Amino acid sequence: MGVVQKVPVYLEKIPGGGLITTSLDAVLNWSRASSLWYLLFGTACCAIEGLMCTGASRYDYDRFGMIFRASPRQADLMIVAGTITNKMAKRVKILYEQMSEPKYVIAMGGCAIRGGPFYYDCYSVLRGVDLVIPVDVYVPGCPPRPESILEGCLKLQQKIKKQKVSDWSKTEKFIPEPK
Amino acid sequence: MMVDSPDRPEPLTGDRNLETEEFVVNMGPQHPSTHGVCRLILTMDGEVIKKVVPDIGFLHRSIEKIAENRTYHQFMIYTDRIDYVSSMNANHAWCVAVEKLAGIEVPERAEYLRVIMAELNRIASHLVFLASFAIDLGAVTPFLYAFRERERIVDLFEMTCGQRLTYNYMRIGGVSKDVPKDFVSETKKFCSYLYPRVDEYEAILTENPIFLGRTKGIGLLDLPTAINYSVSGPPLRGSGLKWDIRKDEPYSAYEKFDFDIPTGENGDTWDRYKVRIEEMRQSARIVEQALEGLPEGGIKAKVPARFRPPQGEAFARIEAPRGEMAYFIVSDGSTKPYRVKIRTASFCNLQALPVMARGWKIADIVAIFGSLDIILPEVDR
Amino acid sequence: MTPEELTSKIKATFAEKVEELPAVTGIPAFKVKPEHLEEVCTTLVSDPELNFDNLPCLGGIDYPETNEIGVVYCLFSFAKRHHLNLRVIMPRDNPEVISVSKFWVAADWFERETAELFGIKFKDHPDPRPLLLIEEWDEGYPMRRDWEGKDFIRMPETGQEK
Repeated sequence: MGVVQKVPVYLEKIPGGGLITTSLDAVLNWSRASSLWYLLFGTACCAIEGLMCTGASRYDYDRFGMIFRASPRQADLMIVAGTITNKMAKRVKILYEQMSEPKYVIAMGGCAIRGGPFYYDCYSVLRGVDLVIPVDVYVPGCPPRPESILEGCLKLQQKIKKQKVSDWSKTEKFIPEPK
Repeated sequence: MMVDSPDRPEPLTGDRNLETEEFVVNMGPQHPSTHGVCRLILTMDGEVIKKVVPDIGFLHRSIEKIAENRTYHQFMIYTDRIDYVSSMNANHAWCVAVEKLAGIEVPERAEYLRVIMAELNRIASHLVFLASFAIDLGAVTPFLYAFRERERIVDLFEMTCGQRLTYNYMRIGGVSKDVPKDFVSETKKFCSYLYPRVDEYEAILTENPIFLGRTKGIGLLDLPTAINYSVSGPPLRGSGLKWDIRKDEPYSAYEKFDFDIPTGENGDTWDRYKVRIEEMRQSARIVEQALEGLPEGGIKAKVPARFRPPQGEAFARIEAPRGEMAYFIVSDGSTKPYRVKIRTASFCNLQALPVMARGWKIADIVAIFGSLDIILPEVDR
Repeated sequence: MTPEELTSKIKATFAEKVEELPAVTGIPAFKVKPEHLEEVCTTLVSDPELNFDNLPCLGGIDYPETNEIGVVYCLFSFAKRHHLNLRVIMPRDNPEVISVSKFWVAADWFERETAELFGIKFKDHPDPRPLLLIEEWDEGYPMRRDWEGKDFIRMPETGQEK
């Protein structure tokens, strides 16, 4: 019954019984937010900071229930860590489509947000990953510190906890076309 | 006792045709053991690799085009992003090339600081190699160990220049700022902390029978092939050539320090791993010597903000952790370079992968690819 | 061999087939006509005194003012420990030069990259596919200095350039 003590806001224990009552929203959002399995997908510099350093012992994603997955089929979260080129953009879109719902995207670093230092004088870089896939949280920096990416993950958890199950059927699947 | 029944199939004899149909396996561009976005097209015969065709360009960021449109100072931040695992070395290569072009004398203290930073970064880069190589082969513990030590190096860099990954510490003619007061003592502490840790990695991996089975004798690269493919760095030394630009064509202050060049014997995956492990110890030795002899004085030569090197060309190369990194700069006398060609080690090392991987099993390609320590932005630039 | 010895040796071996250029930070540099490149490279590799066994770098260079385009070869010899810089200059309209990947395999990818970004054709290249750009690329040769693309944004002047 450790769960009941830890999450008293969401769960209500029936006296004398082995049952608890709560809303479906609370349980689903709670479980989704605290087991964000992320896709092991880094393209450039941010992969070292956002995936390797933060996954290692000092910063440790595991504290938030985040475990890396090598296959997009098993992942809930895609951390777009690094520059996305036009050649890669198509593949990023395929990867995103392969992930199963519900799925979330964090754009990490200047390159994933708007091209970063490769905005000008560049013939091959996509200027922002949101031109290809919808993004939930932007984490600026070049590269962002591990603390920033953890803050981004916490922001995403807050966002997930505000979701309603009834909204899921209403949301339109908006996937912008690559240019 | 065996009974001969008419249903029994005849035993297989040697003259039957057991060849399987060739098929193609697509590895990447999103694959955890390609360390980024590289696609390998493997033609397989059963489990045996017949042919490997690397498909690159997924991270081609047109850095050479950008270089033509930035001033010499402004381009420094892009060198960080060419080789982000060892940005200090990439900074260093650009500085050495521009200083050669313009004939700038760098103060001795700045040269020493550059050497210290470059060697610390070499250790950090080899630790990232160790972490990813071990995790590719299925050993998770060295990943945690290596990143524990790497964080300490990153702390040293952070206290010097305020960044954790893309340092942008060096400047044309020197370094951007002097090291803080307790940097020297902290770095000395780190060096004495590192030696036993390297022994610890060796205790886990080097003689581990599983590790040996996955690496010893796998992915052989003989020396003439390595030279013809322009392979450099630890893979070249692993093939047995005692060649290190720090020793053979000394730049910066490297001729003042005493260090060994580790070499391998067979040119297999294990040799390349062993060379890197040994290089960590040697780098720590260089850092200790440089800290001991760190001279006082200025840290930056006078270089104007609107810096115009004379018309001409320069070719300079340094020994980065992954191998030889070179810049070919053409100057037309203006504030921007006319043409910059960046020669990176991973580009040439990856090109040799098809030779090394041919004939091995599909599981071995992960070990062979990992032992080359490829960084994809270096390949695609 | 010292750079001076190398310069005189190359001049003596190739006579009028090469033309001396100003040295590249101490490295002897020579201009070779495209039609002589194969012959020069054959000698550079096979001559026991020259013995250039390694090609560290190869890249293109564009001169729109004089309507010329070139390829720079940086050569090195592990056996003899000397450097050499070769240059081939061609007209910009239809540049074509022999591939050197039969002498140094390392040239394979360098030449594919140069062919794709500069539009220089390498004759007899073993694998002349594009290397780096997106598969549907149809905007010409981006590393040429006067290239403009539909997606290409130039950086505004910051004032540090002048």
